[in-house]
Amino acid sequence: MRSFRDSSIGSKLTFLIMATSSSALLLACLAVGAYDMLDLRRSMASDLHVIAAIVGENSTAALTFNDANAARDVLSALRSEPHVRSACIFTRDGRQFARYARLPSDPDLCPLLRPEGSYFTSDRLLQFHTISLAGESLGLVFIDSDLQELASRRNRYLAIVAAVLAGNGREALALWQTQKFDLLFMDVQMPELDGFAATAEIRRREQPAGDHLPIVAMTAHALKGDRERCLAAGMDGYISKPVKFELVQQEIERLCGAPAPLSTSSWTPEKALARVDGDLDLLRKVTSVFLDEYPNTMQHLRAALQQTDLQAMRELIHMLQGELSYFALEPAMAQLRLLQQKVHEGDPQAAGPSLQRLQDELDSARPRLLQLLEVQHEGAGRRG
Amino acid sequence: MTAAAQSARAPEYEVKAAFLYNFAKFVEWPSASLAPSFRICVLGRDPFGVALSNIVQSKSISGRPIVRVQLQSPAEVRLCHVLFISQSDPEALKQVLERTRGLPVLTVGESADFLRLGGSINFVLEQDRVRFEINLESAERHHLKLSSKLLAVARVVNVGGGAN
Repeated sequence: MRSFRDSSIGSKLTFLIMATSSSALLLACLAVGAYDMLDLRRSMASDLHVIAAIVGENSTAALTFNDANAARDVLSALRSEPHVRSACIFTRDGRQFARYARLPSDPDLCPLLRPEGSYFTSDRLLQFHTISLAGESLGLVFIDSDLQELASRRNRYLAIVAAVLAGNGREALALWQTQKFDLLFMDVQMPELDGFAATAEIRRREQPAGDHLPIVAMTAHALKGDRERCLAAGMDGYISKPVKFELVQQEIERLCGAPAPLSTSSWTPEKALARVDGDLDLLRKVTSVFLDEYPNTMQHLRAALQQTDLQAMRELIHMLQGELSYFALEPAMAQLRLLQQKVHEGDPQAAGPSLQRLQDELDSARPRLLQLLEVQHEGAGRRG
Repeated sequence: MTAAAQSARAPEYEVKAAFLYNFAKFVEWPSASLAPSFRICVLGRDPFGVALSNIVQSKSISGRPIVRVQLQSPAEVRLCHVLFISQSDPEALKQVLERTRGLPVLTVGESADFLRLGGSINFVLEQDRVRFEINLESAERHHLKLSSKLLAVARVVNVGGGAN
């Protein structure tokens, strides 16, 4: 982007330092958090395993001498473990022998038996442990523990991540104030000052001067309403994560006018030629047919869109894909894939702009295709 | 084994037979009393019938086979690890228990005076369920260590030094 290229070394440095340090911080935070959560899960599972083993050991006599009261006494010692919600002892033949619940009203006591082991659910840790004495299996103890500790630890990490991201939101705003940008990709998930708020703030501040900075949202939710929300917030585009490079390129092209350098500069007639194994005659035929027919195909596409005939659109897109694949025109192919995706999602409203962009892309590719015909003539001339 | 023939086949004695064997898992005998087999003795009438035979045949204690011994006279008590005495006459009981004095034998009975007379474990029925009471001092006098888990499921009675 030119304005970034033209800005002073100092600003570039500031930007780079800010970008790298915040992303490094974030990554470190996420890595530590993820490791810590895993570690905590492991240690919670092993703690509960130890508790289950102790309960099992202490209830061997109760099971041996069929004394359910004694087993209940053993279980009631779990009251000193605040995370344990309920516990049960089963006999060897699967009969419920004794049970404990921290809250007497707890409804889901003593589930179906499972093999020995730890089982994590979304909010619980379940532990089954075999009770045995002198190599003889006596029964099974089950303990149900909540994951409050895990949840509170996770919330703490999320708060740290939020703080880092909020820093980013503010930084984005500060950066915008000191720099002129052509385009801004905005992560909408920045708590405190999220992408929507930052966009609104930018729109508010640029209003007096009548500026309009193109802003493209990046979001992890691929929900339909999300796109509308982004556009309503004053954003100009929307990319869902994981971010695909071609989509970014496409948005740059769409919003900044100039074709993204990577996609066009890499195109040469030889690439198209390679697609047909150097068969010049074939390429010439295909090219001239395509140049004749694509305006027609596009018209059919538009008509199908108007009648929301998605099936017809799918067929036409498929046909175009087959033809375009001869020419190695990546931007047009990308645009076509995007259109295909919109149709696949059953979102004709979003398909409209996509279709227009495809048309633009094809029109701008026309000179290149004509060039292809010329190359071919030269080649044919050399041959003949 | 005439006693076995007339034995009661009530579930009560199946439970008691299982308990006789199970006590062994929670009691520690002095190492000097270790023998190639683990001996469960019955003195007097044998109420267990096949229930005890089944256990003896299918189980073992610390890898040692279990042998069931029907005692013919109280003089034979030193052979036993567990001694079940069905006798309920206090005078006769007292004589038998006197014979076990100081020996590493776990005495088990089922009469009201059993613990008071120096027995270690006494079966009782609570609401038709077999439970047992323990005279911890008596067990200690027989050099036996009773697991706290066993005490947790028993009624522990300390009758004092009367029946030394």
